[in-house]
Amino acid sequence: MLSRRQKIVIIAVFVLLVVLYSGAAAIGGGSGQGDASGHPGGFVGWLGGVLGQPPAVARADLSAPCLSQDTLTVKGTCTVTVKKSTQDTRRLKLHATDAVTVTSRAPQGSDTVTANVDADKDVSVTVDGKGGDVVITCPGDSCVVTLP
Amino acid sequence: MERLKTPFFFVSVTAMILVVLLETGSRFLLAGHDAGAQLAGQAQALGVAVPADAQSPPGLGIGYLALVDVIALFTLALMGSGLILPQRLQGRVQAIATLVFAILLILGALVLLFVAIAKLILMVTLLFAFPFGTIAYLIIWGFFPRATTTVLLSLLMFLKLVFAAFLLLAQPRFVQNKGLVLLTLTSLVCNIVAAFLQGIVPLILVSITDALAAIVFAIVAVIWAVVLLVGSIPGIVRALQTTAEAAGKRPMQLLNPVPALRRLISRSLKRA
Repeated sequence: MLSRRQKIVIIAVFVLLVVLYSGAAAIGGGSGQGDASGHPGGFVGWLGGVLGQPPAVARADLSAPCLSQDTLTVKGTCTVTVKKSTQDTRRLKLHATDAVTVTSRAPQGSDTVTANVDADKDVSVTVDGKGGDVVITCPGDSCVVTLP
Repeated sequence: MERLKTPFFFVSVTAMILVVLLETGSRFLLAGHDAGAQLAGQAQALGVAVPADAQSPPGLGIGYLALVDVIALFTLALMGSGLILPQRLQGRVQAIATLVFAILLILGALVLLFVAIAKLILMVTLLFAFPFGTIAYLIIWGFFPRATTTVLLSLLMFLKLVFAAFLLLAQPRFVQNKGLVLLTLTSLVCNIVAAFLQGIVPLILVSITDALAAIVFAIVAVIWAVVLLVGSIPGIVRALQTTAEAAGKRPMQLLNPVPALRRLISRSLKRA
């Protein structure tokens, strides 16, 4: 049979586990869905700071009919092709001098994502190792987008 | 000494088999719930347009819990083997089985550890690559089925408590086995860690903390596997000694190289 001390230890451990589990389950109720547009804080924010942003797409991996040096002159639409790479996630940073619409495949998936970029704003297009097309659409006659 | 009460022991084994089966099959229970409406709301907040098509991810944490619980199941299987195997074979079979199991577990857990680390890095990198990366993160991992996992973790906790209680009823002296008690506690604590990490952050970030839980469980499994590996070595040595004795050789000559080395050195010195 169990000694008195062993019984006390077992009961104490189980009480502790029940208290911890109840606490852990209770936390789940109040934390909500969250907002992706806000910068996550806490541990996830710290992890983001440690891992940093994905590296920039190499200039040699970019090609587009409207690209001249570091300037894209878009008349209607212009497709920027990003070559395949061994790097899994990369970032194509664009600076829109005029308001444009940028469309690209979501990295690690097949969904198409579209973002409206206001004039004089930056936008980062994330591409995965497979590369792909980034379509820039100009609502007017001609728009200028630069690669900072 | 009190005998092992086999019906209670079998209930305990059944509970642990259910635990491992639920954990390994959890991805089929968790993945695939429609999250299109939630995605549309988040996409609007991000200022991007995306086809509202997202499903809940299966998560890693609960599946990785099996790495820890399979050790408890293996320990029970070793205990159960005592009911089937003849006593002269038990020690040898248990030592060899433990060695093989520990090696396989270390290799498997290490591979899964690196998979989880790679996934965690990808998730965090995408989440912080605003807005195209963030929306990609949300489509793939953004809507973790937290309510379902809470139910599943509660069920697992219940089954683990059944396992522990019936094991104690089967043979109260099991509580004196420190290794078994520590293993049971590790399993219960891992369950709480999973529930805690899935509950502590807003829903869209749960996949990240869940991957973190998976990393913790893989590391815990590797540590336990190393403990098993080290623990199996004396049994293996004894098994080799027995085999050598049966073959008519002096076991110490086979297993202890020190006397042979001493003789070799003294011969060399004499020659010199």
